[in-house]
Amino acid sequence: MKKISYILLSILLIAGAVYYYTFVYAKNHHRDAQSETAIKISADALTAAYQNNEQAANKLYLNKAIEVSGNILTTNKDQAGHSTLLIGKADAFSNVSVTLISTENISKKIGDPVIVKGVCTGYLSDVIINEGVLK
Amino acid sequence: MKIIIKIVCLIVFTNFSLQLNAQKIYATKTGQLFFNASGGIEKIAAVNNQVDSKFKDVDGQIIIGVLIKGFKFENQLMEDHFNENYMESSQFPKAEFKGYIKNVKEIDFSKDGKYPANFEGTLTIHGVAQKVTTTGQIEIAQGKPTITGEFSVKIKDFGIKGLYIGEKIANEAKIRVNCKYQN
Repeated sequence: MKKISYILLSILLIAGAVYYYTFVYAKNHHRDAQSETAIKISADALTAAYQNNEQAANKLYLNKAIEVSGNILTTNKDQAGHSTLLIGKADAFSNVSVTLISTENISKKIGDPVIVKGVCTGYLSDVIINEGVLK
Repeated sequence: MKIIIKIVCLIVFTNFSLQLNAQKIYATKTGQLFFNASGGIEKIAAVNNQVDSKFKDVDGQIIIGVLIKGFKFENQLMEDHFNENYMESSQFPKAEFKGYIKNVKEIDFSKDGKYPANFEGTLTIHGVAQKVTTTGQIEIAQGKPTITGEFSVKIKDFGIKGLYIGEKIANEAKIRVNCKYQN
């Protein structure tokens, strides 16, 4: 009898833990790239890596925490209100497009050097960094 | 004779520059794409705020690109499963629509208003390309167009496998596009 109660109790505990992890913990705990060790790279080098070989660059940088440095080309807001900035060279075909977590206006000016930490989600017409925070 | 050549050159150049001026490319890097594949009580929905898109007003040529890892879910576990088990986003990092706004000639980009738009092209998801046609709307406000549209895709048509499709996960995912373009 005791044995059966222990087994039932363990099953209940495991089921409870699975439920908690799937529906409570995972809903409220998102990946925090800011606490991860980032790959430090300049905006120009990151863009060049993607332009030269997108597949190889994805293996190195896709879904990784990246700390990218460069000069601000433009600042803006996305349609959801997050601040965005483009980092790189004015005459370049591609640059690094960053969306910040913050919705506050960026205090830095165009041309200012900047370091942003975020997650690289890949390459479209620019290299895209998401979940960014200004350092 | 020289004068005639000069006049011909002038006409040709004027015409050429007029044509250049006549064509406009609208672009955005921060369009929105909403994804919903809820099959039951559980909400399986995500948004991507970094949609890259360009279109030409002359012939309606349009391209919309999106990175799969840019989709944000409320539930982190759902986001991880979406990337790893279904979309295999490390192998297929982007989805793309390349095609035409078929009735672009009916849209007056200089006049504010709402215009119905018909899209036709190729949609590539999970490395599989399919021909698609859909309808949407182009709204012109202060000279800037916004494209909105909603359409469904059959998940299995794009070679996406995984558990729960047709159960918790709907057979057809609803995709909603909302792109505000700059000029």
